[in-house]
Amino acid sequence: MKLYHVVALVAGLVLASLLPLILPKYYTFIFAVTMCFAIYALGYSIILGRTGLLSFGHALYLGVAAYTVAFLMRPEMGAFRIFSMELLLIIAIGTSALVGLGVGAICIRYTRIFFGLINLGFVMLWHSLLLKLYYVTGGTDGLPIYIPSLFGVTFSHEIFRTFIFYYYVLGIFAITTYIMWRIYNSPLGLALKAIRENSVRAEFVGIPIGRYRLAAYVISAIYAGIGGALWAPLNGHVSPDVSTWLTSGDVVLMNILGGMYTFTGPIVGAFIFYNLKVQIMHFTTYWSFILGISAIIFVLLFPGGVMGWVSKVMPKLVKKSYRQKA
Amino acid sequence: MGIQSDAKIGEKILQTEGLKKYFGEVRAVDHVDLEVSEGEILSIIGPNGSGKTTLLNLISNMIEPDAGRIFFYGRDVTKWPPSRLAKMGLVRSFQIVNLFDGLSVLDNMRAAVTSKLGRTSKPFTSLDRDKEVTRTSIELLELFKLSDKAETLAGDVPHGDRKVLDVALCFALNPKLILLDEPTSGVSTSEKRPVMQRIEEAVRKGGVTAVIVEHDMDIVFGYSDRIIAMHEGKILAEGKPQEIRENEEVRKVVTGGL
Repeated sequence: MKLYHVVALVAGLVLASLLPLILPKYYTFIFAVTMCFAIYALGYSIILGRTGLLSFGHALYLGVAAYTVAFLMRPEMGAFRIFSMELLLIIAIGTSALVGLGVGAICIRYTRIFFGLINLGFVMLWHSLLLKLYYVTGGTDGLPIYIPSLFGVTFSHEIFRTFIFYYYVLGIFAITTYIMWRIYNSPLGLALKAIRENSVRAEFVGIPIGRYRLAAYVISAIYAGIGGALWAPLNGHVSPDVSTWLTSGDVVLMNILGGMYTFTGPIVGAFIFYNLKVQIMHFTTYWSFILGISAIIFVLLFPGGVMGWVSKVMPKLVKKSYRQKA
Repeated sequence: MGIQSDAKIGEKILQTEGLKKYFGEVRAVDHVDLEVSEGEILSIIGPNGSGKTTLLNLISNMIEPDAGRIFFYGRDVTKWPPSRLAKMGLVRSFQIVNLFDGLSVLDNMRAAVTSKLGRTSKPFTSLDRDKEVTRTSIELLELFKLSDKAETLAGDVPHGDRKVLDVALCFALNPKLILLDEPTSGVSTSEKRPVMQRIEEAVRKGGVTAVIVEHDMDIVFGYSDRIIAMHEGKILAEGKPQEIRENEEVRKVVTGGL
């Protein structure tokens, strides 16, 4: 890490910590949700930007984790009902990792569009299961999510959603971002980039590409799971809408908008995409139309994503490590 | 049927047994029995379509044979994936340059070096702080005279250097046996000798066994210990450079009366 990284990081954390004190409560809530999606997008970047695999089905893991949380909170669980957010997170990480391992083992046998479509198939399968098994999943109505306790402390509904959980999410967001930063700068990160650039040659220099693709896939599934598990209590409710081809596509757009070859790109992309969506939804019911046009304009203006553009126009600030595809 | 080698220089590092690959009607490799001795530089020559590259692709398991077996140090490695072969010391370069174009020349080398050291699976250690990897990579780039281009993207360096880097990546894996598929193809005539010299130097210095598929006859006769001539998927002749040069059949089919 260079000095300007540290400065930017500290400034960012201080600013993020102050936001709930300055902004209206509504925006604290919105930013907490945004960070959940940022974790989702950051995890996705290891499979898209690093390993070079385009998946159209990662909302599967968002849903697996969110429904895990919902199930564990149901009154039917009796004595096994869980309200501890830490425990819920750990179990949600476990289920998304497990599903990621199983589904990934099948998906990574294919690359390019086939990989994308098989993932899409799985998310559609999951989506229809959520709809049809309504006696378990609540069907289209979904399931309620109660307020979890944070480190054993239970907060009121309002404090939780508009204040305290924001900091909780911020903490997890910082930790997951740091871990991803370490992965990107590790030998594994280089091996994944090598697979992206030329999987044949990667195999011939001794990198077992299948295993590494699966590792990247499971990491992305875990990140999506963390995002989903944190998003669920914020939303207060989970329905099959969380796992659709649309929410799977959102994360692709976030990565492309922000710049999938840069480290910060997916995070910036998540912030732009989600907040743009929320703002446009205020104005018109035709929000998806406007959002689509905005996405097209963004891609035309910044072909390498917003952060890809930034790293080009600010070569002094963002040093040589970013000049090549990071 | 292939011709068994008479010259038994050292231990047999590689043997193939009835190796066969047909593409439809085309008999690309037709029951080839090949033996390679430790420490030798063996060249495979032949006209276009005689099955030289297919033979290399079979040995390196880039494609699966229809029949036959491959032994590396006496072990049956016919079904081993290339990554496992690479770990064992059987590596190859490519006729059409095959690099990580979007990565710097140094990172190309570091990818191979971390792989050799068995460190690619480390997810949390810092690559930049791994002094051994960086030092080894830079030493290798110096050996192949590429160190001045370390920071350039592999896709942006001149073709001759790309070709050398392609071979250099093999040496990063500390190979026992290296398969070189036309290491000087696409390199300008004036550059061919210096490029081949860089490669030969590295081969001899490392005590590596090399199997080279090559079109350029001057290069073949200059650097080989032994030559195999292929024609229509079969081994036509085999022997010392001088014997091959004087072989009437080979002259007719392969060298076009050189």
